Amino acid sequence: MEFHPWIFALITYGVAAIIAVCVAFIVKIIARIVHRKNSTAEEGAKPES
Amino acid sequence: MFFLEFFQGIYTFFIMEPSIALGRLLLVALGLVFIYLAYKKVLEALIMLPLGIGMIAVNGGLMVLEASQVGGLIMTEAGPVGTLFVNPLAGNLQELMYFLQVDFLQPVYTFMFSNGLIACLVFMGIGAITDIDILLARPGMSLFLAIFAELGTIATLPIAMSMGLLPNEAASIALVGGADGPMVLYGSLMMAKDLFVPITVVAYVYLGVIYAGYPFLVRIIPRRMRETEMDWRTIPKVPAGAKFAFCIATLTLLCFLFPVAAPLFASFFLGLSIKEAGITRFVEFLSGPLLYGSTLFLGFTLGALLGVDIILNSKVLLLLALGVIALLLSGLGGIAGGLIFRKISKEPFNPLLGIAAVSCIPTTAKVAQKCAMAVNKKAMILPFAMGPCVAGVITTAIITGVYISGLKFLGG
Repeated sequence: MEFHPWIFALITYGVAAIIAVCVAFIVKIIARIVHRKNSTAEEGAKPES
Repeated sequence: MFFLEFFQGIYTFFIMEPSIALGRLLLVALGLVFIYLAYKKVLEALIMLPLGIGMIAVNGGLMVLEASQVGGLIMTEAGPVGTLFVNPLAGNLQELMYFLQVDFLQPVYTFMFSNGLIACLVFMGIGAITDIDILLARPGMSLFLAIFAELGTIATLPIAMSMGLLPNEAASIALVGGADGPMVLYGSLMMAKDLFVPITVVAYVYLGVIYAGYPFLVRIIPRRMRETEMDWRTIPKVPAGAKFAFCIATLTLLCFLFPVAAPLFASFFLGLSIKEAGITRFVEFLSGPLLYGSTLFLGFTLGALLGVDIILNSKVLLLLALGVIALLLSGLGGIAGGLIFRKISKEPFNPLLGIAAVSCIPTTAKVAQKCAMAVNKKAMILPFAMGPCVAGVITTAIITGVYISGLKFLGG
């Protein structure tokens, strides 16, 4: 199957945009995990009343 | 004439066609211009100085080879004419073995260029000096701008094909829009090996010119917008563990998606993860001797490959024009992305960050900062600009992967 060059270019743009969103999503997930881990560590470090 | 045979570099002018002799002189003159501009720091001296010296040496140092020697550059009545630098056309194993023993740059070309190793080494070094804090702190903004700044990389492909280039050649020159020298080298080696020298030289020359050219382009953004101040103290601190995890997760994803570009991804993220892991001995090696050593041999070997046969190729003029189109469109795309993000952003946003997303690390980030400072001395946008700049490298690598994998859908 062969695409017209402009169609191929648009598909490439779409693929790049989708993967960029995936990368941004990875960043968000990592940030959330790290944040949760830090919060747990802080709570554990609080002196017991 | 007999006396001149002692001075082969001059003698060969008289035994070759006038057009080829003129081409040699032109390339020597161009080499001198590159050296001068590199010395004056107008062009990137790290690349352009060794490149210019290589051009002068290879076009001046032509000599008549013995008739038994194979693969001379140009055939003349006196015999094959060539150099003692490098022969990229060495085809079969016998020729290759001969040139590996005779041409002093042949081992560098054969073992480091033709397999893309030199681009990967440069990429490891770049990874080791890249700061990804802002990319992780503001991933949405960084990747949004980076996608817009790929306009040139995308649109130049069909434009180049409509001008008569083959799909593999069009995809290679389109990568210039990503403004990433090693990526263009790697992509053109993978897709259009016969044109990789002119395409890579076009890329490096234009990347040098970006620093002077983009400040004029950004004037289409209204001055009041370029003056916008952004508070870099609002950037949240990203833990080292998060940065390291990002490197490994993104590398894994990209390698699964585009195995053809996996060497590039692996090299970049290796440098990046070593930096984030804090292995200082490796960081010192990658960001110092490896990066600068590779850059030196990259520039010098590219110059030595720029023989007169290169400019005799009718496609070179077309490549020069397409390189400008690619970088112009990417710059305009970045600016458009900056203006759109300003509309949707709730915080003050300087649209000059869009130009930083044209991923020439760190040149375009510096250009954005320079342009902001030119209209407002208090505008400190460089810390923000590094995010789109690094995101641009990632999106360009993705597009390189799509192009290499998808050429068969273009009949290439």
